[in-house]
Amino acid sequence: MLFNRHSNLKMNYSNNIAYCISEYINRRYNIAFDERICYLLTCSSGIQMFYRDSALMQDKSVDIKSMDKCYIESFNPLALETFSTNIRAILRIDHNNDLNDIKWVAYDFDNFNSMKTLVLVSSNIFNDKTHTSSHPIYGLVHLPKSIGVENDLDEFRTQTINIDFKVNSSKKLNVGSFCNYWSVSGTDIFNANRYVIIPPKYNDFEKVLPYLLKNSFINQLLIITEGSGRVGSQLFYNLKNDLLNDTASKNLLKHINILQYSFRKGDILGVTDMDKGLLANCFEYLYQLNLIKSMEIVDTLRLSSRAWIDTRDLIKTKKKISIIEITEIYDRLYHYEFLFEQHLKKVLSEWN
Amino acid sequence: MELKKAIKYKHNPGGSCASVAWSGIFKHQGYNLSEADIFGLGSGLYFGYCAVGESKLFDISLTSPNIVDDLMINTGVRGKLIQHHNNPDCLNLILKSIDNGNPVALLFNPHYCEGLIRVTPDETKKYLPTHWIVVTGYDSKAKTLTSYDNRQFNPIEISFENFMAGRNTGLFDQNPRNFLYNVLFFDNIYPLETSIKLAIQKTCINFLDVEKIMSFYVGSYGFEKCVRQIRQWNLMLSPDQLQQLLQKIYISSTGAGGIKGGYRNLFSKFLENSASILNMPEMYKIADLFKESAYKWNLFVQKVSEYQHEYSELNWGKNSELSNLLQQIYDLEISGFTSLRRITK
Repeated sequence: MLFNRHSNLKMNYSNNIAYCISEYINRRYNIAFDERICYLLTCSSGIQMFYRDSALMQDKSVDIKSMDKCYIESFNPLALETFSTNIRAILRIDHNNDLNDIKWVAYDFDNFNSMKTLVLVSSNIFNDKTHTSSHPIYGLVHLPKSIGVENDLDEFRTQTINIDFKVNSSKKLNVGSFCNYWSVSGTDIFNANRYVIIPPKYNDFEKVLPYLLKNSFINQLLIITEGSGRVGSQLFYNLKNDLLNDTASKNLLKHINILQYSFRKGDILGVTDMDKGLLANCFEYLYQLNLIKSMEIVDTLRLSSRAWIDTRDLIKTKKKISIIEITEIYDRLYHYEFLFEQHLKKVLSEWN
Repeated sequence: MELKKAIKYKHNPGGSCASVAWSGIFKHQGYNLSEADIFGLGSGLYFGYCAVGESKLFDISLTSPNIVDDLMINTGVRGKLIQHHNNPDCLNLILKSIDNGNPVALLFNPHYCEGLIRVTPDETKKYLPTHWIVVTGYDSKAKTLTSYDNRQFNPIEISFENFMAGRNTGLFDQNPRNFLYNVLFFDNIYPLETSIKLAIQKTCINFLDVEKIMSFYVGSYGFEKCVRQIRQWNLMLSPDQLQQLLQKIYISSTGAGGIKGGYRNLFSKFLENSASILNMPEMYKIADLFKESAYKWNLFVQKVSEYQHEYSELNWGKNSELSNLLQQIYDLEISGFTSLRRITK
């Protein structure tokens, strides 16, 4: 049952990195690894505020003046690393040059039973016209068998490369264009062209899964409670306080900008609710597996998903938004984040 | 870039190059974590047995291949490994980091580490893996860098030229290919109690639940396989091949001669420190088990060393002694890890 992957799941929710890892491991090692379990092991379910140009950076303060270039999302900049250490896998990165790396893509597909290669590209690959910065997006790529490793880059340039981002989201473009979005330098998150994940073989995966999940949840809780005030429920608490202290309404526009940018960024891959719906599915799956006792966390996450969708509708459709409206948004988001954190702690305590 | 820069850096020599290097970096950031603490927090303890019958490829590994990634994730330090393919660009990044007052821990080709090469016999140099050092200063006029090696007290000067070569040349296992961690320390690392539990749990999973990763049989499964197969080595390998295998095992189990007790002393010390932090007196007893295991590992390494130097037909039949020792070590360690899992659940 653990290994059903997508077969028993209505994939109305799918996540970029979890999909790529799940598909990658399935294709390369013939281990069906459910996308929902992958998602939980990446610890990407907590809300964090990032700099648009540097996902690794977090400011020490929660001063709205420095938030001009920030946005909110449920993304873990170390998702691949976190997944790898949680599952006890080996992660290898490679960043040689475009020609050699594209040859690896062709070689893998040609020689290893149509294996796709895990890569990182810039979100600008979607011809984004919404003025978001270049954000990292994982992809599974492959080249048609007609092109081999003996060809040079010029011959590769005109070939069509296929990129899968998540369920029902893929793209085809020629290698020449693809390379423009590939070896992105200058930002701290684009650390390689290609990734290799080597998962371990367990003697009894179902038996060890609770241990793996427990470690992931501890890690997730640490990420959203031990960071600066820019993570988890603390973030919304601090944002709301900033608004309340801003009696002259000088910062209102900045708050709206942060939310607008965050939703525009989410739109790139069709994320409307900060993946709260997906997370609800993940915990529902754990409930079905009898790994958690209560559906409380699932219910909270569904309500949280609704809150994010409502917020998005308001931010995207209403022309003038008042301080009271933004305050209410923060209150609602704070409430569900806080509840999620409490439920997560409860899940952990049940496993002790 | 300035003309000359030297960061005030406190270096405590030790046996595990990765743990010594990152202990220095953490201390520089104000976290007083010893070599043993870093080794434990990086879930560094490991047993891996590689056995590929057809190609007669065997090996034993006693440290985790993921120690630095695990250390980052377990402590909450944001570190992203980046591969640079341009040597001068990579050097400039390192110099910039030093300009900003941050020492840089990095992997180096062991053949460019004078101290290490001096103490390693010629015939075993090819088995040395990439080596962690810390770069703490530079002189752009003399074109030299100042670095610290784990076993030496004093800093070492390396020319820019040798440094770039040492960062991106050599055989596959010895070439660091300009890998560099982009590290970001926040105000605080995670609470130490939680980091310790996370690290211990991961070490336990490696030992109790993982069977195989790549060509290595891991943990208890690897031990069982190795105990059985080690008796057969002399039947499967020629004396030359066996001698080379023993040389390789000597290098990997002693950190090229710098580590005693197969890294188990470090883990034992980490458990002792953790016992007082977590207020878990039962952990002291488990620490003692690993101390005993370290003693047995010393005997094992001693035998390995004897056999590789004193070759005679008779010695090859003595593999059963290695097997018996390994069985005793296995019994101690499985007991240690089972207890550790129980008390840190």
